[in-house]
Amino acid sequence: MMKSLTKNLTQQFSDPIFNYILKEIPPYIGVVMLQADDGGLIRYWHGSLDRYFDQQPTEGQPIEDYAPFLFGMVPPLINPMVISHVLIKEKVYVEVHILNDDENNTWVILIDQSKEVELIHPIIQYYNEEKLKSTRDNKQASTVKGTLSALYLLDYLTFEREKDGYRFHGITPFWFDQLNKKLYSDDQKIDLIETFPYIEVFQIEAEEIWSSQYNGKVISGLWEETNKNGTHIYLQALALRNDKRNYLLIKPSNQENGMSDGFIQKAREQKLTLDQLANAERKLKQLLGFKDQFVSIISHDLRSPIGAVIGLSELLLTDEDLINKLDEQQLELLTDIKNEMLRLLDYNDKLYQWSNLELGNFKITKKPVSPLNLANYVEKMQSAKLKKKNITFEKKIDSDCSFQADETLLGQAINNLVGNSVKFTPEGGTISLHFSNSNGQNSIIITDSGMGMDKDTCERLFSGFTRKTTMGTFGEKGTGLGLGIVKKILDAHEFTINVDSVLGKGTSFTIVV
Amino acid sequence: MLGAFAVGKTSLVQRFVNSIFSDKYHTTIGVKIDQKIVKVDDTEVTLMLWDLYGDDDFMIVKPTYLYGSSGYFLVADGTRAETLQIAKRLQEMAEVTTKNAPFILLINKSDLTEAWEIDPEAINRLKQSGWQIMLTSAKEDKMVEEAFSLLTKMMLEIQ
Ligand SMILES: Nc1nc2c(ncn2[C@@H]2O[C@H](COP(=O)(O)OP(=O)(O)OP(=O)(O)O)[C@@H](O)[C@H]2O)c(=O)[nH]1
Ligand SMILES: [Mg+2]
Repeated sequence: MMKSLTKNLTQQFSDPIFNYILKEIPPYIGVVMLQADDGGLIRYWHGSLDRYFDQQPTEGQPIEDYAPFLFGMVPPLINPMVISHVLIKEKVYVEVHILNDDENNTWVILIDQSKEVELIHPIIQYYNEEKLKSTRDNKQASTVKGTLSALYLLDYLTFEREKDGYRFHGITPFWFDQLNKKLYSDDQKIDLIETFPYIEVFQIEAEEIWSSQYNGKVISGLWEETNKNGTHIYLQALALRNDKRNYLLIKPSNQENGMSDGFIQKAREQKLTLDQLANAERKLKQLLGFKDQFVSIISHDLRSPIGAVIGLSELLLTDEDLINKLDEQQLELLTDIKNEMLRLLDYNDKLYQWSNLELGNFKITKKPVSPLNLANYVEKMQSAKLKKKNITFEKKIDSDCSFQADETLLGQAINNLVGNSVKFTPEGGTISLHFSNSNGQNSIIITDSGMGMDKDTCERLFSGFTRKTTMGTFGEKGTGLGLGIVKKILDAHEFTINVDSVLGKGTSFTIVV
Repeated sequence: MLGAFAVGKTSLVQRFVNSIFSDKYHTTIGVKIDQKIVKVDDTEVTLMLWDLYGDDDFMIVKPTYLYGSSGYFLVADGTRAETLQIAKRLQEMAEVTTKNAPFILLINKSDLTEAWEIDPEAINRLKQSGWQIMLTSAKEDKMVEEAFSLLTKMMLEIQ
């Protein structure tokens, strides 16, 4: 009796469908790889080996030392060699694939089968019990039916496709009982589409396999069903043709975890966020563009009315008849109007420059520049203020100092810097403008004997607009724009600027060109 | 329900079938089939609604899912212009597989007006070429019921 039992069992397990499912269906998890050279020494490994081994291998270690279960199998006797259900440590079963490549390296691939073995175990149990019973009852169950009926233990809902419908095998697996579904049967045939409308579409694909001459399989996409308790489950169908018989198996999919919680869900969420960010950025840029354009237009259009008021106040101030009639206070008021308007004009011009720089309307054209011309231009621009504060302006030009720049823009930048120095240099002080060449490094250095700045102010100097402007030594007001413009112009040239300042002693700006 | 990912296919079906809406995005893997009985001019019709996964580079909708369908919704997201392009591409595929079954283009998320991106001109052009188009909001329950009953009517007229 013992003998017939084992024979029956082997028959069961050699059932091609059963083997097929065991070999093909379970997802390959925990795949690791080891590579050994022709002498059997480990060269390379891949995957999380700690699943199977207590320690990491070392390069050059004999592979049979590291994985004793490979003893005598490297290189493989047949190529490839595949051994299933190898117990490598407690409760850990693997499928071992041993392959040789053209260069006589041996590749060992391990696939975790522990779960599968765990699942097979109850089947063996089931068969043992069934067979014991049947030998007792002296009845013989149909082989095919027997195996298929047991597939529910592997979570499969099993049907055989027949000409006019589906025949159900075995009993329903646990997950099916959790669904809000039942099987509709009519004269032993199951109306599977009533239960799972999805199958209607899958059948179209399955039919190609089922009507073929050959064995084969096709796996469906996933579909979602709702459990009685409101949770969701993803199912997947498998159509099989084997030995001229057709099967349809349905099983919960374990792919959806990896897919929805993982990769695809994340990728899609990320894409949505990125799209939103890109949109916001586009809108912001557009708005900023509008702002600069607006500022540019307004400051351009304000220039002539401001100029007109200045012209008029100058006209009044040079009218001797009028001047004679005004008392001192009235004259001062008129002078204030003119000065304030001049300041407004200066501010307005800077705004115009700024907005055009932001808009990129100023194109840099680098040409060799003349330091002398630049120095003269700046001196001329500042001459009135220099005279007023009795400041000495020193120009120093090293003969070998030469570089390329946009002369107009650079002139503006230096002028702004010198203007700044004038503002903060007390009466009788000195400002020097030095075009230097020291060991081939060209730079422009502006030094003043002004009031200097603390470290904090130095650091924030070039950060664009500042609300906080410092009064000059004569109470001159600033625009808060000047140094921002300087920085823009220098950035466009790819020049750098450094500032060096001692409080109460003076400041020095160095433009490295 | 055909369309790019995250346009609101699942949300529209859930709004219609179960009168619920969730702000949380849970991408559909595979296919979810829901059923709803609707009454059109005293005729009861059972709708089998196939909510498909969103079409993108990760997952491309297979034509087989469309075999035998009597009609379909193309869904786009009004705040993402590219989803309209995807809807147009899916329509070309669906037209062939369903042998010209009726369809309606739903431009969803109509509640998000300030983030709206789809140009009204583009919508007009499609309307002129004969497309049925509706602006819907699964979130605020705007035009959802109407969309489903119109498509049902269109499907019944064909038969
Ligand atoms: N504001 C707003 N949000 C919506 C609307 N409809 C859907 N959403 C949101 O958009 C996101 C995507 O909705 P889903 O219904 O999952 O989209 P789907 O087309 O089924 O997505 P996939 O299954 O990934 O293809 C979710 O966060 C929803 O809450 C709507 O009308 N208005
Ligand atoms: Mg969805």
